[in-house]
Amino acid sequence: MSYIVFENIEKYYGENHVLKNTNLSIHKGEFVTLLGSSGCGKSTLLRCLAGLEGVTSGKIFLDGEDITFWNPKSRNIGMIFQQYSLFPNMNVYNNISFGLRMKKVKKDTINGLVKDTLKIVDLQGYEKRYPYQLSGGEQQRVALARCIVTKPKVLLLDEPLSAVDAKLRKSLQARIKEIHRELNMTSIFVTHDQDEAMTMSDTIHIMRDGIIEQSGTPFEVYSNPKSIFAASFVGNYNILEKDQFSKLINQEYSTYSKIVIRPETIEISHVKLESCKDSYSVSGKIIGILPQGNIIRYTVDINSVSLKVDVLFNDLELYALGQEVYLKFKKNHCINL
Amino acid sequence: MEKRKNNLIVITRILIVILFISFWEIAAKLKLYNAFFTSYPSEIILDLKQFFLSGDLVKHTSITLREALAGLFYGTIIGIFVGLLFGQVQSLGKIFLPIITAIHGVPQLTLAPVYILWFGLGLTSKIFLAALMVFFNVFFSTYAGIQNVEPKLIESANLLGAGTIQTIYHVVLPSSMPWIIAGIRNGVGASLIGAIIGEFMGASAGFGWMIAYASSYFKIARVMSCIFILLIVGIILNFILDKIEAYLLRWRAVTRLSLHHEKNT
Repeated sequence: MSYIVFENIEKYYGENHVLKNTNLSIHKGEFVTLLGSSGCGKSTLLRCLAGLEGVTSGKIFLDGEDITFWNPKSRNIGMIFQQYSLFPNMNVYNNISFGLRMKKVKKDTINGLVKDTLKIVDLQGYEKRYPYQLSGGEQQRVALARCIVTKPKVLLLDEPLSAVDAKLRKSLQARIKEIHRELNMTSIFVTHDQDEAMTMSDTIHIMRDGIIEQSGTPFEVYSNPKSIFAASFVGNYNILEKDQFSKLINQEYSTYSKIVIRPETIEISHVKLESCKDSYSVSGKIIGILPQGNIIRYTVDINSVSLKVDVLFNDLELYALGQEVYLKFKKNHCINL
Repeated sequence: MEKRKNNLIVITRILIVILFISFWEIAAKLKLYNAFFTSYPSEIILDLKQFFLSGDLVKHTSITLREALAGLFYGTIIGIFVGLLFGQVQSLGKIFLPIITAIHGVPQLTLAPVYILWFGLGLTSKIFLAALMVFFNVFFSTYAGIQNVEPKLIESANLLGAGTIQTIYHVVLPSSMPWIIAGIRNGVGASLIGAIIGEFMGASAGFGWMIAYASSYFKIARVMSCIFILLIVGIILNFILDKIEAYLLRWRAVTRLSLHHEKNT
């Protein structure tokens, strides 16, 4: 049985239809990511679950109870925001213990819980510091500690890592995942960063214009996009019109209107690659080179069709602009949409 | 290095005051201008001594201070309360804000005689006037402070189980504190002005009355003595406020903004 259920959720902001008959089920202990571009309704869905926004129609169930009209205080849901939102007038100890004090937990118990939580987020000894004395990463860990110390039924993370630098983001991603594993707390993570979604999630829900476009494990949504939007949002797919694809493979192809191919599934070589019945072989000219860390992205022109090809950075196999190259890709890697 | 710089600032400040007083004294003694209208430091010091020995200094100071401090207290409490109320209940704010703004626009000096008619010549009319002047400062600051509280802080508090009163006490009030203190700081001056205007209009004691009385008899040294005492009172009150502010806002990083990029030493 699902732990969280969104049932036919509709949400309007004036004339703006933000959530369109959204249905979503989340299992207990799952780490779910809502992935989508800005304004697609992912944060609104999270805020509706937290009770910070009311729904126009539909129902929200948590642990079997209809919480649609409950106030935020009664829902026992923790939420972390992008801007940390620590209480600036309270030190780390008071920030973390705030929820427990509001719940009238005994002082001794609070001391113990705060101490344990500080250990989890690796901030022992920071009790007396004020938020302005902390770095962005430390502040976000305090925000995380403030949420998990009250043991909420659900942890909501609304783009919590958008404001931190890339290196710190990686370490915080790992920390959040570790904590999730340790506490087995049902978590919903909102992001527009596909890499972040891939790294962290058990399940990804791709959202677009207030509807869930596709749901699945990171592997499923990456390897098998169900729509052009999903393909463009995860995996940097080459998206080709039917006519373009026909030109690419130099033969008529008329089954589907669009064909998508992942750049890393295309084999590249300076020697001719033999074609076989389950793959296509073509030749073209390098027209673009874009180093991306451990990957180099080549853009190859084949019969006036541009194709992105990703290869692992390897000194032994570098291609120059204008160089003639041969490409090979399997037919089952060409996804028809 | 920072301490040395601060010391230099204090020494410069003291030197400027000493230079001004010396120049004033010398100019008066050399009759470079007519000192009848301004008196001069040595005469003022002598008057202060006489003022103190006669017992009038303590008497008038205590009366004016009592009026100003009572006005500051009531004006602050009511200003914060109404500011919080209007900040929380938006519809109340929308109804009453233009009315309060309109009343604030009326110069209180013109209303002082009315307050004396209402509350008599005693302390009450002066306290009322001082409180009213403090109220406007504190109310507008508190209201503006509440409008500027980060909404996500309130949402966080609600999600963590805080009710309305707890949210106001733990989040809204502390977050608005820099604004409230700025309002109180203006209120300190306003409370003294309120008390003194009230005394000008009708009283039998206090600095306002004393200044009016001394002016009518051309006792400029006494007027200057009163102004000097008021200056000292203002400095002391602001010093106390600085300490209170430093304690209440100990959680705030000090912003050091300068038009000049000072070299870090």
